[in-house]
Amino acid sequence: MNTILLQNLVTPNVSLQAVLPEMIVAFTGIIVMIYDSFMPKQRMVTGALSLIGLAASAFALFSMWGEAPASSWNGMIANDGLRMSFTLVFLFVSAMTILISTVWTERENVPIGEYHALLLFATFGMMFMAAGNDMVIIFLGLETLSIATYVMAGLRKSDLKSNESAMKYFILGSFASAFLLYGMALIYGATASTNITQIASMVGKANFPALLLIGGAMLIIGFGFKVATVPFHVWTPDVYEGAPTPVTGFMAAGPKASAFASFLRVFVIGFPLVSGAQASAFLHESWVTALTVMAILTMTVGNISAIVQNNVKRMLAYSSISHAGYAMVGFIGAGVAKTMQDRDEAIAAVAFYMLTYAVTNLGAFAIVTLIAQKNDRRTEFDDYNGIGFKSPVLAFSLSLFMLSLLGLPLTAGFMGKVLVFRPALEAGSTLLTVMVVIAVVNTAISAYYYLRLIVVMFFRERTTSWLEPKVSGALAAVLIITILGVFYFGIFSDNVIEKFSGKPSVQSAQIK
Amino acid sequence: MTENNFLSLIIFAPLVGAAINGFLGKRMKNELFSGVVACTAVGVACVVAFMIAFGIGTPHAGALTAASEGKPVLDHIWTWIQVGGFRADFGLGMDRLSGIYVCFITFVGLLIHIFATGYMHGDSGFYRFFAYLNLFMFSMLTLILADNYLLMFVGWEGVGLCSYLLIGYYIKKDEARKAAKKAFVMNRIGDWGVLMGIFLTYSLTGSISFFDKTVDGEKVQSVFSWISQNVMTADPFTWGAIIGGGLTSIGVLMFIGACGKSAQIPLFTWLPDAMAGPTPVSALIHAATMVTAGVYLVVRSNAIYQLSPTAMWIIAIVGAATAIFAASIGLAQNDIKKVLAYSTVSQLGYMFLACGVGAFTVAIFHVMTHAFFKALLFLGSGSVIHGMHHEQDMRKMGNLRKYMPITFATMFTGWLAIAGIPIFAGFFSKDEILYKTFAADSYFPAGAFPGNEILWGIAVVTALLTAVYMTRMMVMTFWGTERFHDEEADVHAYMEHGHDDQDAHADDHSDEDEEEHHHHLPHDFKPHESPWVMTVPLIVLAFLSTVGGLVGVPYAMSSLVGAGDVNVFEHTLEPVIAKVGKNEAHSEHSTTEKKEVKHFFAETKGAATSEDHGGHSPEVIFKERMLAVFSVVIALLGIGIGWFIFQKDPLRKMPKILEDKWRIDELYNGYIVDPLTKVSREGLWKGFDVGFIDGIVNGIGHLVAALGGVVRGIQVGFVRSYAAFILFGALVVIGYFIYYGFKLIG
Amino acid sequence: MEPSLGSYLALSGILFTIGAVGVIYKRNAIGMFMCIELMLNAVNLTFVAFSRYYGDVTGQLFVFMVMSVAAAEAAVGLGIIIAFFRNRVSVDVDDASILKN
Repeated sequence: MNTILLQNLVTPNVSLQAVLPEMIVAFTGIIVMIYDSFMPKQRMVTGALSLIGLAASAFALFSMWGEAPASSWNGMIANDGLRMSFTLVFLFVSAMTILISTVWTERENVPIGEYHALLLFATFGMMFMAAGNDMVIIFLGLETLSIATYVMAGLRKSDLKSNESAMKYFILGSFASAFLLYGMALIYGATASTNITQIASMVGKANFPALLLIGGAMLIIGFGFKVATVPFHVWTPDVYEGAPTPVTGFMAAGPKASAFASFLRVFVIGFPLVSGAQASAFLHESWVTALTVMAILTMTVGNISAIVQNNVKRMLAYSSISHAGYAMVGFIGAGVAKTMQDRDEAIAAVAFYMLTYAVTNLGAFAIVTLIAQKNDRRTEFDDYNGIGFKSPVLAFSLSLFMLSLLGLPLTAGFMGKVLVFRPALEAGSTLLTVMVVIAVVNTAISAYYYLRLIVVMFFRERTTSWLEPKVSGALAAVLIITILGVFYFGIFSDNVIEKFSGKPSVQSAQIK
Repeated sequence: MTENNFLSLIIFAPLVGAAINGFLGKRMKNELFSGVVACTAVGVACVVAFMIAFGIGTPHAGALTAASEGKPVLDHIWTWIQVGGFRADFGLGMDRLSGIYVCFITFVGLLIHIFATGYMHGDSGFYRFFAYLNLFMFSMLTLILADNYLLMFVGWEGVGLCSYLLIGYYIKKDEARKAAKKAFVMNRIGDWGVLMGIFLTYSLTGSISFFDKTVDGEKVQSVFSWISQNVMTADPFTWGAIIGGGLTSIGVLMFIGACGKSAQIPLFTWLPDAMAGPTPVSALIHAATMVTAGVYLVVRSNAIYQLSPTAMWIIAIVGAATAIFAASIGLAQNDIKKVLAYSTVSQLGYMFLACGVGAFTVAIFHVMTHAFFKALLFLGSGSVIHGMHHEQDMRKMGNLRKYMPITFATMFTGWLAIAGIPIFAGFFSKDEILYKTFAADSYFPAGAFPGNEILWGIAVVTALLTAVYMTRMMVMTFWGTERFHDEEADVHAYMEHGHDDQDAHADDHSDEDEEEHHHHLPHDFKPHESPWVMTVPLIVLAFLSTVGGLVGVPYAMSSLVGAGDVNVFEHTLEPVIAKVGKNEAHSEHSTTEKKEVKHFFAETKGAATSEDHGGHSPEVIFKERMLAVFSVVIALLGIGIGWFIFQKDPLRKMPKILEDKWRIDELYNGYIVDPLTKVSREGLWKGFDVGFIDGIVNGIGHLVAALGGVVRGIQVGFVRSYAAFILFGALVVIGYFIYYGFKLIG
Repeated sequence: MEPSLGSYLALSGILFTIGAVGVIYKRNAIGMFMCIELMLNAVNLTFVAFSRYYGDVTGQLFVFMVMSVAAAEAAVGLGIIIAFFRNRVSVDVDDASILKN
């Protein structure tokens, strides 16, 4: 038996170029870590190094966009539009987080080198999650990401809230990882493979169809936790509130997107509807239905809970839950797409949604970080009373981000929503149409709490003193980039979508 | 297809104006600068609009005058989004419908901008005001000129946002803030309807475009031509059609949006409250332009509505009900702007009534004439308020014609126009609506219109009420004794006010605004006439209110004086109205007309060119003339009643129920808000104070908050509870999948 | 006689359930963490069983990855627990409940 195994071993088609963006980020992380251990007093160097690394990675990404073969590393690494577009989101989130954190690392006196290294490793993990076409890679990416973010959530070592946040995240996160892993094991058992492409070809003729179903359920639990869908969202508000503000912004934008990337890959690409195969039909129908119900619950629960919050960070945490619900509408749309092209476009829509959400949310968190002051003291709604005309730039920018989260036309948020709702509508199924109706109702409800922040800022009197925070160069850069992004993605979204779907959409367009 | 890239100038000129005032206005601190910038921006838009509409100096024929039937002038700015079959362009299109709208919006808008430079003189936020006002013009023109539903929705949300900003312009006034929130929230309810309608339209027709066009070498089919090619029969005229997911569902959803924007029952209470904003805003947004966007949406989608009789029937009923309801409330208001606000709601009801019975062109005709005379009346009231040092209570006015002759003279024409005296603009449009309602059976797509006589009766009573309350307003303001120093009037008002207070749940807005108005004017106070920047727009609008109706004189009347078919307005709009579901006779009628009015602009100058009027049989003409005579009698009767009652006793106590606006706010509060609040307050809801939305929405908010209380019960803070919750969820998911597994094996 | 695939799967299922219930039952952070480790090892057992059943190394390879990841997780997890202990002088997770609602 052993001899057979040895014969099976083939030299993998190693292509460093296919993982160049990931490698650059990982090596930058290592360099930052080493540099920091020799020069612990530095304040700027590791940040600059990290940004350079991320930029180089983005450059590598662009150079291989649409060029590389469909997969490499024996099919373990995918080079499709899904990976490319999501990776771009991660690099963007990471770079913005570094810039936003400058304020915070200054005033909290955190070990800055460690922080940057952790952030880069987390980014590396996210990139692997999007690139992995094999459950091993996805698992490794997910754990790299998780372990780094556990630490980041608890970076303020002496702060009870930060401790608690890290502890909860760690225990619940690894709890959910165990489910995910069990799911992977069962899928492996049912299909004899961990490769997504091969799984996709095996779902119709699985050895143990029942295990396939239970494995699918376990995967939904695991990914559902990372994406924070109801009922696996319970950790989100507490962890987000307790974590340092820039880290919260990062967690809501980056890891959530990366979980979506692998969630999409495993379910939409890995568990397709194979005609004539009953097992795949059951699996497909059950996951689509289960996720539809979860999407409806997620956006509704997220919204309703956000309304009653008095803490801005917590409100944004719940808002991120409801946004995950909206993104899932596009996800399900991709799942029920009838042609490959429709599927790719729906996946691109989800990626675009995560990009718009990242842009908007990071902008909001930049301002929340700035206003929070030392030890994240000022994060209640009351702390925003009447700052509208005292710090008009901050207040107007924050209002813009709220309007984009709300989905006002011409902002990024609106375009993102329109794009993710579209594929689900086109499916023409009653359940999915009901889901879209509920999603639109939910966006109407969400006006309540997004506008509340605007109202608080402009219409309330301030009773306590207000020290206008100084906007540093880095933070100004973040604000400018995110504001431009909000408008650019709202007005010229076509350019981005074209790039994300991996091919020029002019050829693909057809009139019904 | 005609392209004209200058079309985008119409929307971008106001945007540039808004940007200049927004960014530089504060630094310049110069009223002249801000005023000139704002007026120039709208002026440019106006000039370009007229040039393109009438083909003045353009290489192509004007959008309104082109001989070819309804060929729009298009301007593709960029491809906004294109995925699969879904395409939304950032593109503008001016056809005959949007052409008419754009012309009167820019022109009336320009006049109101000029007026506002005088009215807002000395306000500390002068530049901010004009930045908002220009921003509003940008949004409104985007709404009208958009060549697809999604871009129209951009404008739709934009005007809502600007309206919110402008209602709440006097940020320090609690009343203004509350009104702004109410407006925004009620509009959000409507916006939901529009968005759902658009989604449904797309999933049904695969398009959201208004026009057939070719972009980037790719043919785009419009929603309406898809419908005309693929939908052969109208939806059944049943309640079930509403939830059928077809054209009727689209129609109803879009009408919900129209209700929100155009203040129809049940979403109308925000508009009277919106009078808390500056008066030019009331004139521009809440009378002439934005509130008619709902009518625009319905007329634009007439191809959809003509195939969904249920939706049309609902529109007609809601329109008629709103018309009479608001008119009766207008009868008893003492705030001059509130009278006009309810009058606006009532007139909007007329427009929807016209849409509902299938007379889409008449609805637009009334939109236009209403824009003239209502803008005039609002600006006139602004001039009065300005002259009275921001006193809005008519009980403290009287005999102002002595002090403000120009304002009086101009408002006099507005009064005659809205009351429906012949020759004045309002007469022709209102009379047409009455006639078309009476004759609805021949216009309504599903054949006989059930209950059109009742609706006609309601409309006639509304016309009577309109004449009465407008006369009351004029009499109280311009005739009678001078009451600005009259203690008795004050006492009268105070007593009433006290009485109001005894009502536990009296609407708190009206309390507050009355409080605001009870400041004493100085004893040497004399009202004064407004400066020329304010009176000139009044004069222009008075002119338009007088002659503006002549573009749409129906044949039955023009033939009286020997003129031929001079109903230019109706013929202009003809190509916009889809030729579907009409009965045989009518379609014949329109084809003969189509031939004949090919160059109607040339023709109308010569008048009386056509001999054959296929659709105008002598009986029909006779009926129409008789009805017209009847409505003139009604108008005169109304004026007479109003004159004799209020000339004698201007402060006559009106029925309490009308003064309390049929206690509709109380109804909303008492039956919807309070129970919800009570349940949630006593049950699960604690310490939740956002004080954000009032009215019906507050109740929903409390309910949602109560649910939030339940949901956040999950968030107890213990890791183990969370783990248990996750495990529980996991078991549910796994159980669901195992159920499927059993189904698979078994 | 070699146990069948089914018995391996049953055992791993039982172990996984014990671990999952233990996470909810235990109040001690370290105890919870050990239960999670138990769950991971149950999964490892599944992987190895299938690997053996199919005669395919991928499953065993996956187990190596899981083991190394679990080790890293243990290091970080214990670090977080120690930080918590320093501030609270307790490893009772129920003490961590200032973040709620």
